[in-house]
Amino acid sequence: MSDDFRAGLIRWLDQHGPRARAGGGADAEVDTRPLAEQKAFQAALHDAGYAGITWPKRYGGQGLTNGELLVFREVARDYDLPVGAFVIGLGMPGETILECGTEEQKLRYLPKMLRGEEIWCQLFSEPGAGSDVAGLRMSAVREGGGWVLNGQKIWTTGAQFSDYGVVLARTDPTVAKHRGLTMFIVDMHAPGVTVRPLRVATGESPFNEVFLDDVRIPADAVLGEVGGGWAVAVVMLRHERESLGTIDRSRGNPLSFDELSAAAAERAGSAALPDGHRHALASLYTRETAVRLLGRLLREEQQAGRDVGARGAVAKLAGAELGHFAGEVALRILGAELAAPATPRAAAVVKAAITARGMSIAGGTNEIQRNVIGERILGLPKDPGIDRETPFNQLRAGTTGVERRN
Amino acid sequence: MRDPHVSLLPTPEQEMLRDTVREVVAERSPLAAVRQVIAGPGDYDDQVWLLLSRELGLAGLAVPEPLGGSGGGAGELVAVFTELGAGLVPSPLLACTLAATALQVVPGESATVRALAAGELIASVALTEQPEAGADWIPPAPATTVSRRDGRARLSGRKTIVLNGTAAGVLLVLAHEDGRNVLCLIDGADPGVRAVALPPTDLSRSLAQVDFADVPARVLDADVPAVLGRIRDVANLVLAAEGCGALAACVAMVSDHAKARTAFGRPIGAFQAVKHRAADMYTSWELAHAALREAVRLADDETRFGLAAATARALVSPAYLRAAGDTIQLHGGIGYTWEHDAHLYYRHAMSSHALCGDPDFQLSLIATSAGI
Repeated sequence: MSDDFRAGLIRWLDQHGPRARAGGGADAEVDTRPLAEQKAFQAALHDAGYAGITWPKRYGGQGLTNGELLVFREVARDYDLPVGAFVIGLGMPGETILECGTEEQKLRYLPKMLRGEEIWCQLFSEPGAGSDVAGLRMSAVREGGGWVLNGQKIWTTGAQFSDYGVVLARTDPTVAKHRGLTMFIVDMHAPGVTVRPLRVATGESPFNEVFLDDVRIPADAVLGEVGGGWAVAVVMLRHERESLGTIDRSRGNPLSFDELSAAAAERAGSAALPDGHRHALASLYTRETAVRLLGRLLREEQQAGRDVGARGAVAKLAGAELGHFAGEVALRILGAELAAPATPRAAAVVKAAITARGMSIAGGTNEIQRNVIGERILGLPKDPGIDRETPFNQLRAGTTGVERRN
Repeated sequence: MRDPHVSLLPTPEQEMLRDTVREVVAERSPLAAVRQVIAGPGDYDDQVWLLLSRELGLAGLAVPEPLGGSGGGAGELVAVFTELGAGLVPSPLLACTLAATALQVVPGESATVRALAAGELIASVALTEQPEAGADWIPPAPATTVSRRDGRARLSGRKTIVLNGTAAGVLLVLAHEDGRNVLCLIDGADPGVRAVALPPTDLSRSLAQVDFADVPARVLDADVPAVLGRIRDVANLVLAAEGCGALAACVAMVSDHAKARTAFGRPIGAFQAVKHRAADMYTSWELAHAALREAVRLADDETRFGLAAATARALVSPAYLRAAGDTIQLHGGIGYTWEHDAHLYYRHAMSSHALCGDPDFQLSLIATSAGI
């Protein structure tokens, strides 16, 4: 069963998918290939039976098992598929609609999402609510038969080309912060939606700020229950951790063992590598291998029907720490060249090392992952906190104290 | 049916074996009993060893059925050693397993292997000559020498860091003869063999220095580099399993303590300074464990097993050492007392870090295997 699937997939990808290359799109924060190319590829991928592998057929999926999904992810690691625009939508809003949406929502949105006809983003973080995302301020007020949304979101990947977004907003500020939230589906083309690029430390703008000013949405745009937004958010955050934690790093990553070994060999020329470099690279090999294997192990356990619980947080944390470690190895190997990168390879390494600092913040900081591991896996007590039972409108949130003036 | 060459997950039979060993360890060799062994004259508890080796058949676990064993493989070894490591159970099983691993591929040694598999014989491997157990744990040019008189081989020299060297009835010795390295078998009871127990860092592990003075030796008809490579790789697998089990035991100890111990009006596990360190310990276990599962999966793949086993070992050794140190730290003062078990694990972690190839040795091996 699985072998036929693998063979067919490899045949198809060899014909249609570009191979992984150094500095390729799969591990970059943003896929720079034209949207039209990505949409055409996603539709072809769906036609060939490789999109929505585990999703039910009535929503456009293939109705297969995690076994086929596992094979797909392993095989896809050798290619640099032009699907960056769909990763967020399929991995988070899509999975969440599948789990929490109404039948009408699933039938309306999932098939078009799978074919790449409609692109999705998620709107969670706010300037004043990052790790403490339940402290968000985006307001949703009932008006007529629907809702009116006001507020600002940040760190929204793909908002500039998204057709829909899933937005977490506050519908009741008079109850404790986790209890007054509701999840909505918002049309990103609706009047009052403004998307602005956000420039990050690499100098690129892979994320956006999104402003919602009096954006009107219908009553059936509620995802889950009114006031039950946090439960839906937990589902979405779980999918985020899992999708970030179990992504196989592609072979073209500039901070991978293969790439840094090639860089080291290039610098050494005909001389042997210094022992220190060999050991640093070998250590990178062990950590990179372990992160990849942990992702595989978790997928296998899921496939075997076991509850992996919050262990996606472990994979997410380990992947982020691997990036930091690889950045340190790169500094040792490339030496002075990293102070002024003269080759494309060195420039890619510098960029990847800076990107790695973002990976330990995006999708839940390393510190939040450690809380999740400590509390949900090891069963350690939560910090009692002073904010859990207090009505939201009596809390202080965001950055308080002395504001920096420019 | 799960294919062990494809899946990283243990088989149901291997999980049952692990559970059985876990129950036996809890009942017959809890840490209080381990402390009695440590305080007593013997290297291990004879009754526990009888139970493990004969009743549970662990001595013949990885010995093929035609040679009297149960024909298990890496998955069974890992199941067993994970639990023995978690309980710091003193036993000669590691020494016997390495000896059996080597001897089962040598023609003409089936009688010795049968005796090992039946739990009737304790054997060990004597490779190391310098006190450093790192890069030279398998010396490329051993000073221990085989010479021939009247056509009979005799062995002279000194080996050290020999696992259960004082208890071994048979020793597999790496030596030098006429410009080549040889492996030979020595009767541990021969009057020319003098084994002296070394003061062990890890109180649960028995190590010896063994002197050989013109001792009759049987030189094995063996592909020496291949046998040594097999010993090295199986040692990596088994020690990685032991370390993984012990690391998990440290995580459990720390979690339990962090929930029970109260300071500043709340359980200390609620403080992120404690919680995050515990989370890091757990994460290091998950990574090492995943690599260990890969080594099991590739155990029958001669071209890939060595790299996979060294990778698991290179991850486990430092992770366990750090976790065992953190276990003392997170327990505070009580963790630094002799009565607390934390130092037993820290000692075991230090010893396991150094034995049979330290991480530098493993990293060199990995670098070469991975093509750099």
